[in-house]
Amino acid sequence: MNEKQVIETAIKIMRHQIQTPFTFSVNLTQKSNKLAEKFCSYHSNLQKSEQVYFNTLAIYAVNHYLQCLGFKTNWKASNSYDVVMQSFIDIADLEVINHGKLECKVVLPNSEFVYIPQEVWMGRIGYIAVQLDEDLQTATLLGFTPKVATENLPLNQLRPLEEFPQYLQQVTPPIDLNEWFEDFVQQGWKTLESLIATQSSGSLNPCFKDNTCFSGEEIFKAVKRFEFENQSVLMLVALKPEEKEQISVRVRIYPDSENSCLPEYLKLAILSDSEKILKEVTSRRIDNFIQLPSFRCRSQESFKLQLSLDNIHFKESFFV
Amino acid sequence: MKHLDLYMDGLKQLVIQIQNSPSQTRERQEAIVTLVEKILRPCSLFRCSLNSLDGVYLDIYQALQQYLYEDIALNFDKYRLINFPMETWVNELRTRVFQKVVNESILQQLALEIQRHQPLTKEWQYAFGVLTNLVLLSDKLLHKANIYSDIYEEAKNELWIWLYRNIHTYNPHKGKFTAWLNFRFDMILRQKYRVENYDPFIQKLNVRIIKNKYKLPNIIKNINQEKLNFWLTLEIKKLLPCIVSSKILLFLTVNFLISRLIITNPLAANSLLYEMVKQSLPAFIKLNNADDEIEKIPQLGSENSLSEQIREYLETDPHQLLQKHIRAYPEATFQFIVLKRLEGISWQELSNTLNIGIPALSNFFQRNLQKIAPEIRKYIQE
Repeated sequence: MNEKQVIETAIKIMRHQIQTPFTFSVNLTQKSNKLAEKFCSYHSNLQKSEQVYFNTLAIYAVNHYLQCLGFKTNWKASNSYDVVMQSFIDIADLEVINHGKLECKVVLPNSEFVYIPQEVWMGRIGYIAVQLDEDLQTATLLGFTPKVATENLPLNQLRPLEEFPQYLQQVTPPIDLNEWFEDFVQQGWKTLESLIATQSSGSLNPCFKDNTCFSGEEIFKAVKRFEFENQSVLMLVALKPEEKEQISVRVRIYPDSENSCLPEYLKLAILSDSEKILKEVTSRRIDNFIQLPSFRCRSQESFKLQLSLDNIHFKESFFV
Repeated sequence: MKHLDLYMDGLKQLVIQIQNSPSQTRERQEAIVTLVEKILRPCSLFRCSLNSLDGVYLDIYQALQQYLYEDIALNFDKYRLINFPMETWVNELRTRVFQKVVNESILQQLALEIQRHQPLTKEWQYAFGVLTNLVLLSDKLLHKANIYSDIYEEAKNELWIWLYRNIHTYNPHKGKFTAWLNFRFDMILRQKYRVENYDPFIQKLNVRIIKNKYKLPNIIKNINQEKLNFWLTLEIKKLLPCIVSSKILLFLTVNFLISRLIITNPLAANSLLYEMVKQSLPAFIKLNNADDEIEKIPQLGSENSLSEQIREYLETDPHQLLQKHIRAYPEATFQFIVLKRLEGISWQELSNTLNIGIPALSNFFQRNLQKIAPEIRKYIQE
């Protein structure tokens, strides 16, 4: 066999190997084992203890991976780090700062599925499948999925791991609208009442002073400020409960402060999961607010809004 | 059969094929090329889904392939494969070739390749994967005497994190890549050695059970019946006198039954496995660790157990924090849900009773528990 043939074979082999997915392996060090051990010592039930043990190893692996990629995480603030939470839920969440919660799910050796219990189907930005080897020495990240609709997800339906960093980069923590009904608004948001109460009247949009211009039946309204180069605007999200656990949502954009008009060509859009624009409105020079047609959202559904001016985009995701 | 066994069997057949074909024939050469391909395949080196492989990757692959081919072609008759496990032979061969091929210039080229790419892109991740794999497979990292392997592994993980974040600072004009990497590795090792007041690892009983149970199904699955029968006929004569009194036969029977059970009824097998592992742990471990166990898990089984204290708080609701309910379901208060869960009611049953989906139930539960958990902790500590 001459050199040319060797090269041809090499290329053939590589073509074949190109189909093998990209994975990421992590050493399960003593430190990870000690932590897993410490956690499982709190649970006298062996089955629970086992679950906590493997969850901890999976989170350790994902945490290491994210650190390599330069994402900041806060494991200690995650529910999975809380023994009380562990005892009630099969939980393996990891908080990625500025992006949201990831769930790190263990895949047992030789298994073709990853088990994702319904208990963790909400409030996650994604799920990473982590395979442990037979000696518990190495964890291998196999791939991810942004959403789940089945408890046993076949591994071949995972998205390739190499797409994960760029996916994570563009994700923002989703806003849980259920919390609004429990009188809690997330950081960055303010209830309309508290905005009116705290803002000195001079700097408040006149629209908000007399509550009439958007007097609807909505029982809950909250606002968030978005800063563009020359002007900041307020996003108002108003919610109204409907029958069958549904809620109707109305979204409006108002100028901030005394400006009576919005900047021209400001775009408000609702996006699909794959970031396609489903509906969009654009402001004219004379608009003092813009709004999307009100829409309904069922329990466990999510939606994404995008606000853009020139080349600056803000995205917010919500779920019910 | 396991993936690895299948793979090794494939290799073995090729080796036999090479042995049986006279040297210098085309048949033999082709068999060697296939063997080379098979040996390089699982190195997780060239795994990627990029459309084309070129430049530095192609160079490395070709070099590896060529060296491997030469090593096998020249030395094949010298290998004593009969007395040698296939796996050991392949690993040694692989390490030898990687050490020969992976030189400074390759590692440097790879480091520069990473620097060329935007962080977090596919190309960037892929180049990193190849670089770290090559460093490991060619055994380029510093070794030190008197370093526990645990600390060494820990230090490796830290080194990778550091490398991912600092690769852009590597400058080939200032020094070799391996030296640059090992300089940092040495620092991490020293630091770890100082910081970690090493205390021999005593495995806790629970962990031991969990780990053994994790490995047991595999051990059992791998005992196939053919081997079992063979072994039995061979050994049974020798063992016959003691079998009656020993547990060997019982053990084998149980193994066989469990391997069936795992397939037909995984849930029952699960609890049975726990029992088996518990029983199989030597009694002295239990005794040796008894004091330690009690000290570490003071609440276990006692009246003041963690779950008892939590229950007390949740039943009495001393701070009136547990009455929030799921939107549109006034009966589904946090207290109601949490007490049901404590009673051992599953999420599924609870979902059926309240007619609310598990995700919504659990989401409400997690949010509220997260807010209340600090209060519970305070209450327990008082």
